[in-house]
Amino acid sequence: MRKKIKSALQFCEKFISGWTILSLFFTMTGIGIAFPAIADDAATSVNVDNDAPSFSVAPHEDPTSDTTTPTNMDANVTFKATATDTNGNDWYLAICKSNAIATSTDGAPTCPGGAWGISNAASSTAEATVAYTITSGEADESYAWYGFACDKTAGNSQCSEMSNTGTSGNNGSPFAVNHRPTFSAVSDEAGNPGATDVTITATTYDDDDDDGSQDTVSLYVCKTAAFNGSSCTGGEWCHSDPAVAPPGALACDLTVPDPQAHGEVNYYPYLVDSHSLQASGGQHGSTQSYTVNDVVPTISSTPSLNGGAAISLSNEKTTTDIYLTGVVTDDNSCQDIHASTTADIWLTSVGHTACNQTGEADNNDCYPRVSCSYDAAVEECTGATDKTGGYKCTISFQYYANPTDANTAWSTDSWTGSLVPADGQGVNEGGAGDSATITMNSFLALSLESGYDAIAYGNISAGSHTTTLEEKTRVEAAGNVSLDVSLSGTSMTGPGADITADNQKYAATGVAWASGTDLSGSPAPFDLNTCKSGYTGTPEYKPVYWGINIPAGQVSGAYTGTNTITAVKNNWVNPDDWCEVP
Amino acid sequence: MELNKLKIVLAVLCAAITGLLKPLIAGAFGISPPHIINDRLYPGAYFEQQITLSRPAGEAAVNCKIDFNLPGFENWIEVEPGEEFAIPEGERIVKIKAKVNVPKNAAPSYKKGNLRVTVAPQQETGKINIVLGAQIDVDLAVTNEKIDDFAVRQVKIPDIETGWKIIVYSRIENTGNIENAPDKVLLKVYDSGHKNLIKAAQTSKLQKIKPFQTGETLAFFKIPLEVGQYWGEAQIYKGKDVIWEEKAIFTVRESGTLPPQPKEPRFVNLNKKTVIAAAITGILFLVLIVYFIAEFAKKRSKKRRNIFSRILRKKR
Repeated sequence: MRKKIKSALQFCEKFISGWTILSLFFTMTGIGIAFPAIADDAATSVNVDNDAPSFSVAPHEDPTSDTTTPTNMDANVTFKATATDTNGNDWYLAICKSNAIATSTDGAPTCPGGAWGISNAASSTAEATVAYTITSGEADESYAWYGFACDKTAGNSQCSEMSNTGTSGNNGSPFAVNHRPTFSAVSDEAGNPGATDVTITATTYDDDDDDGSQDTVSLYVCKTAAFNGSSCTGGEWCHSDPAVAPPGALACDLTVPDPQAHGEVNYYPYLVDSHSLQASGGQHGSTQSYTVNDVVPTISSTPSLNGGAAISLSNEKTTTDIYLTGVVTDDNSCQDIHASTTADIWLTSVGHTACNQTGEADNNDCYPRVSCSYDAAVEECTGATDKTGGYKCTISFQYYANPTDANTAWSTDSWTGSLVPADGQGVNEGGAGDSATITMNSFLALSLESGYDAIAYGNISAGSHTTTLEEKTRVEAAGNVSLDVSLSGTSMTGPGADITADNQKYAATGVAWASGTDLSGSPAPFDLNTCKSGYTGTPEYKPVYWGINIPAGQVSGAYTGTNTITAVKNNWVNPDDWCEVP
Repeated sequence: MELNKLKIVLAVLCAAITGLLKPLIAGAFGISPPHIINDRLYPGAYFEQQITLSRPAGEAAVNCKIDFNLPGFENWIEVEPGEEFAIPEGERIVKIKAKVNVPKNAAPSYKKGNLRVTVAPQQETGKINIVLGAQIDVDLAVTNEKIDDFAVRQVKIPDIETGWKIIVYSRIENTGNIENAPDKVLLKVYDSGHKNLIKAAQTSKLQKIKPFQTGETLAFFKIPLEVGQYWGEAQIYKGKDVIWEEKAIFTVRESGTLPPQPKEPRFVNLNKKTVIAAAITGILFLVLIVYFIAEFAKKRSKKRRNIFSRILRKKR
C-alpha cells in the first residue's frame, strides 16, 4: 500500500513540475497558450523589518578616562565604537547621559536625558567617533555614560541595546574628570644677592582625590611668562615638590643671582597638578616681583698706600699728592658703588677712630675723608655682572707731614690708610679696608724767606767792618724736619785782591763783630735748631746774621762771591727737639 | 757835550740799578730721604738708595754738585747721574741713585759720612750769590752675620682667562743681606659668594729677591675654573708663620680678552743628591779629557822618537 501511495505522489509531483515549466515558458515567451490552470497567481508580499545596528566593537573611551588617567578640564573625552547594520543603513553613535535613546526619522537620534555627544553618520561596519569637552560644569569627578548605535533610515529607525562596559580595562563608563587647582594668592620675601633661601609661597586648593588618592600640586616659579605644563621654558627660579593641597600652601626657595642690582626682580608663578593640569586665573602666570636688598659695599683686597713704597715728599712749603688705591666690591654690582667712597690716612699713633671725620684733620698726622674716584686702571668695572671697581684717592700731604724714618720724633710710627666704600645707602664704615703701614721719609728742605734772601753789605770803606752783625737771611724749614745748616763761602772777587771768606762773620743773633763766627771755605756746621713747621700756620724760620770786614788798602769797586747754606737734618733725640706738639 | 752828559746819567742809573739788584739765588731746595742708611751690609754687598731732589716750579737752570765726605770709604759710593750735572730751567724734580758697593774684603765696621748736594745758579750776578744745598747723611755698618729678613708690601690676584693658571703676585722688599723669598704661598679659591671652597693649593716655587731690593715673586696655581668671579684667599708664609693674608675677588674671563700672562719660571731642584751626582759626573768627564790628552801626547812623542832614530841610523 505504501508503495502505491508513494508512486502516486511521485507522478503528481512530476506532472505539476512539468506544467509549471511549461507555464513559465509560455509566460516568458508571450505565447498565449492557454493552458488549463493547474495553479493560480498568488500575490506575494513581505515586510522586511529594519533591524537595529549592532555593535561589533562596543562603545569605549579612547583614550581611557579613569581615576588614573582622568580627562582634564577643557580637554576632550572621546568615545568610539563600530557597528554593523544588517539593513546596510548608516548609523550614529550616541553617548547619552542616561539610559534612554530616541530615534529620529532619517536623522540623528536624541538622548532624552541629555547627550554627551552624538556622532556624525557612519557607514555600516565603519567606526564612529564622538568627543565631549569637559567644562567647569562637570564638578564631579566621574560621570556615567550610555552608548547606543542608531541607524539612519527614513522608516522605523532603530537603536541598539545600550552598551557602556567598554571593550577592555577601564574604558567603559564612567569617565573621570580632573579639575584645575586654584591659585588664590602668592607671596615672596626680600633677599640679598646670593641668598639661597628667598621663599615664594603659593596658596592653592585641589580636592580631587581620584578615588582615594589625593591629587598633588606643584609650584613652578619661572623667570619669564613661559611655562609648558612641566617646565619653565624661559628659565626657572625654583619649583616645589608635589604636595597635597586641600587647601594648602606650596613654597619653593629661589637663589638670588650674585651680583644682582637692588630693586624688584620679576617672577611668574605657575601651578600644575599631578595630571599635568595647570591652574587658570588667579595668580597663575601673573607678573610678580621679589625685592633684592641694597647691600653695602666692602673692600676686595688690601688697599695700597703709595704702592707700598715709602713716601718721599717733594714740594717745598706746599703739598705733594700721594695716592691710595683699592678695589671696592658690591654684591649689587660695581655700578652700585658710589662716588662718595672716601679714604682716611693717619699716623698709626693717632689711630683710625681719631681720624675718620673731617673735623679731625691735622695735616701733621691725620687726613680724614679724602675724596676718591673710580679708576679703571686700578680695576675696571665691566658692567652689571661685575662686582668690583677700582678707586683712587688723592692725598695732598703738606710739606710738614710727620716723618717716620730714623732720627725723627715718630720713628716708632708709620702711616696707614683706610679705603671706606660707599653706595647709595651711604658710607659703609664697617666695610673699610686698611692698607699696610708705610714709612714717611724725612723731607729735608730749606728756603730763604722773602726779603731775607740776600746778603748785600752795601758800601763799606776799606779798613772797616760791620759793627754789629745784621739779619740778612732767614732760613725756613720748608720740609718736615727740624733744620740745622752748614755754612761756607768763597772769596769775593773784584777789581782788587780777593776778599777771602774769613772776612765774613755770621751769628744766630745781632752780636758785635768780634762775637761772630768766621765764614770758612769748607762747610761748617751751624746749629740753627729751626723748629719743624706745621704748628703755627707759617713756615718756621731762624735768622742768620752776617757781617763783613774790608781789608785796608782794598781797591774800591764791586766785589762778588758765593755763600753756601746747606740744610742739615737736626736729628731728633729728645722730646721737643723739634718744637713738636706732643 | 750833551751826549757826554747823557752817557754819565745812564751810567749812574745802571750802577744804581745794579746795586739794587738782588743776587740770583735758588728759592728753595729739598731732598728726600736725606740719608743712606744700612746696618746689614755683607762684604761684597750692593744696594741702591734713590733720593729725590726737588725745587719750586719755574726756577732757572742750576748746576748741581755733589761733594763726598766719606772718610775711609770714599770709593764705596757712586752717584747716578754723576757728581755734577745740570738741572734745566723749569725742571722741578730729579731722582738720583746712590749705589753702594761694599768691597769683598771689607771688615765688619761702621762707616759714617755725608754727601753734600748744592744747586748753584748758572748765571751769577749781584754781589753775594747764595747757593742752597742739603746734606745726605751716610750711616753704614758691615757685618759677617747673614740676615734673613723680608717684608711683604703688596699682594694681588689678577684676572685670568679660562685655562690659565691663577697667579698670586707678591711684592717683596728684601730687608736682609741674602737672597730671599717667601717660604710658601697658600691659595684658597671660593665661589663668588665667598661661601663654598672650590679648591686649596700651595706652592714653594717662588723666585728669590736680591738683598736690599724690592721685587715681585709670582706663585702659580693650576686650578681649572669656569668664566665668572671668584674669591681668592692667599697666605704668604715666612717659615711657619703667616705674615700676610690677602682676600680678593678675581675674574676668570673668556679667552683672548687679556694681555698674555707671564710665563712660569722653571725651578731646578738643587737637592744634595743632584748636586753630588752632577759634581761626580763633571769630575769623571775631566779625568777622561786629561787621559785622552795624555795618550795623544804620548803617541806623538813616540812618533818623534822614531823619526829621530831613523835619521841617526842614516847618518851612521
